[in-house]
Amino acid sequence: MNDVLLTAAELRALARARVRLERVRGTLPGLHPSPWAGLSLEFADHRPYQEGDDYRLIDWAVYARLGRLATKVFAREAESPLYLLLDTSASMAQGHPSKMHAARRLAAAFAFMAHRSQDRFSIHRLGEQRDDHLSPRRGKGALVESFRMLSELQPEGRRSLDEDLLRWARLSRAPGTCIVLSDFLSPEGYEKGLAALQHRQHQVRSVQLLADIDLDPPRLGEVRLWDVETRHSRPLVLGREAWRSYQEALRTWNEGLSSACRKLGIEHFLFRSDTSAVEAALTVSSRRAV
Amino acid sequence: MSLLVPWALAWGAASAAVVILYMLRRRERELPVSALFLWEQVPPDAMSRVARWLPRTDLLLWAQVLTVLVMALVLSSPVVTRTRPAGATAIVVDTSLSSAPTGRMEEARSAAREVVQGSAGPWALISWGDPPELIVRPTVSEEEVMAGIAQLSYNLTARPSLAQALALAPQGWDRVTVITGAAPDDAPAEVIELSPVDNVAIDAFAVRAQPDDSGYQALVTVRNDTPEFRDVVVTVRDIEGGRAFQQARLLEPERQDTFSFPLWGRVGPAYAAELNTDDAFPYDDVRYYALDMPASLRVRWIGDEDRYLWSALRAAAPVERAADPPWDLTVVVREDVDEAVDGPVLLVEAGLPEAPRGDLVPADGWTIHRDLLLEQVDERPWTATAVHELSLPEGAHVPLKLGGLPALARWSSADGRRVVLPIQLGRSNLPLTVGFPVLLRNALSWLIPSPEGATLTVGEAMQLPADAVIHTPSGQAAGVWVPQEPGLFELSHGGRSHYVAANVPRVTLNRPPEHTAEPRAPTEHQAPLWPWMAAVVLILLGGEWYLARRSGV
Repeated sequence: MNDVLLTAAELRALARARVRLERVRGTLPGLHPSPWAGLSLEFADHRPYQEGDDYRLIDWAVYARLGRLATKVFAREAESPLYLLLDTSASMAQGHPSKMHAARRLAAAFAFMAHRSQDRFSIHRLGEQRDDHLSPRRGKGALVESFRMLSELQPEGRRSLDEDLLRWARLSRAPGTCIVLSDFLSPEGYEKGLAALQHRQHQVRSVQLLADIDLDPPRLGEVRLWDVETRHSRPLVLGREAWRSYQEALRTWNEGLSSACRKLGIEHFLFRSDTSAVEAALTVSSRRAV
Repeated sequence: MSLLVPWALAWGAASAAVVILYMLRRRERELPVSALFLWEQVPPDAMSRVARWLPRTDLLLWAQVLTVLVMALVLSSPVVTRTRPAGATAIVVDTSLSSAPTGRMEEARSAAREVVQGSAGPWALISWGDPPELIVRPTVSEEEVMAGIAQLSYNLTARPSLAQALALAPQGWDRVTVITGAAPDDAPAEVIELSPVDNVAIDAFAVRAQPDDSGYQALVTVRNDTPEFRDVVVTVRDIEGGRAFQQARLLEPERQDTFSFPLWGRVGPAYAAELNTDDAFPYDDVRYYALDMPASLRVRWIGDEDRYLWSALRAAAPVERAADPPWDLTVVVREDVDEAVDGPVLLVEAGLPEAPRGDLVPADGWTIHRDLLLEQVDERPWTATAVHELSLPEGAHVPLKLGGLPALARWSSADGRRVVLPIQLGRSNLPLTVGFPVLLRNALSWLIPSPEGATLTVGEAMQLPADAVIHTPSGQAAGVWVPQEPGLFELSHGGRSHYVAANVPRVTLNRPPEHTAEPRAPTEHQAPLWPWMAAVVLILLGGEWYLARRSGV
């Protein structure tokens, strides 16, 4: 793994990008236009005066011309919290480069974009019993701490993606944008977890990362396959036919994931682990969730 | 080479065993996967054993098989046949002074190596210097000959005849190769000629008396062995006196010229002639010459002290008073010596039995006859009022008279040369004039002639007297001394010091061969290949080790 998560050139490429949002949920001022009226300097509209309105917002020029009181309404720009949920199970260590490496770089790219958009953000290791980073923060300090945390992340153990997402959804408070970074190769499934995130009013984007060995396993002949999480193994003659069957099974699995996301209104993305982090981050950030 | 060698056959068969063992070995490769549950839906391929095995063939197997096959080749003693121009070869490398120019010795070594590589052997290596030396006896070991070639170095001596060098390796040789820059006339061998060297040299240098006995001169012969005109500057240095004489001249190509330097005044004991060239052969750019003359003159003083006279003598030549013999000069001042005196004598208001001193008589008016004693002397400011009457022997030269009486005279007797100065110096301004020490220097030059001294060539032995010691940069030497380098060396003998000059011999640097023997017909030579193949085996074993480490076997 490189010591530097993102190079200076990659950071420059990400500096002007923003995560496009369908709904802005944040309450703090930010750079995303909010559907709610606010007190920014940008004039939005007039509305009839109501009792209790601030006198300073009455537009006296309208009163002079029309003879009725009208209150000025200003546009509101707010921030939106960004939650980056990282699958750190042992399967993420597979591949050259590993899926974990790709997830780290992608999470760093999203965190940097959120920092530039003045959004709060937090990075969560799925399955972590003590989640000290549940509350999103913003600022340079939060960015530095996030990068350090990402650098120290190591994939290990066996995790159930469904249960981890459910648990995180239960603990989460302020709704925001959730980006799930995982290989989604969890036999226990993922639908309940993703649905729980949607239920908690989060805008969810699922980013599936697969490695070369997942997409195109080598045809080595007589092999013993062993699962890096369960440690279960199976002897197999891995030839052309077995390779084709595996490709079919993987395609079916990925189509199931894509279909489930579509039903839940979740944008789904699939990247190889050797895809450029900048390219992947810009692809994810530029598409609005349906 | 033959693979029918039993050991080679056995090793060759071992490669088949490696392949069979590899096929029999059932080892599943472990493949970690992210999602075994996907693979559980995959039915196994139904393949034959060979089909299962084929995808498993890897570099390690091929490396092992290749290693076994190469080892079988090693055991079959492979050889490569090379055609070389000759077989047994005697190599004679000129290591005399003619190989001393810059780069020529390395060129000779390189040529010798090429001869070795181009012949099948055996070889012998002869250093053709003085004395000739058999560096490598007849041998079939190429490494031994190459080591001998690396040891070759030139010396500063002339070379003996080629026959003397060839006598060291009297076997019958297919090829005798002489490597030299100056081939001998009608060499009975193949000659490899080294690159010619442009050289400007001092061919000869000597200091000798002028034919008219009026002084000394240095003669320097300079040779221009280049195809172009050269401006040369020759400098002759008096080693003791520090004087230097210089002449410049334009020398025609391939010509020699002689430079003559009159050495005025008293001649020194040693001289060096130097040339201002910057060629590849510096050893003949300087030559030395020594006269058999002491570094300082031992003077026997008889009669009155005269500090003006002594000061003038010290100005004229390096002198020292000596109470005991041997003496180089006897000075008699205002005294009549009754007995004969051996060796040169300077008489000042004094007399000898052969030239008795008379009364002091007043006199006036100079009469001058030009003579070597008055060379470069201005006598016009001299004043004198009285002179002793003298009875001079026959044949005496009187270059100066005062009032018609001899005021300065010289003659040679059976006991030595004499100069007399009968002027009353106490009533004359002569000791106070500049011309007085010049007069005395001329007198000493005539009184004490300087015979030729010892001038040797480097490598020439010199038998030293019993109690003589010669001082060299490497220490003192006695008995028989052989100079190893050119230069001027101090010889101490009987409490006196002399110089001995050593020069490099005169050599010819460039001379194309007039006739050389032709190289013999080519011969075939078989070189073993097994060391190279053994190296290949080692490399293959290293590759196997790396592959095994990488694949975790």
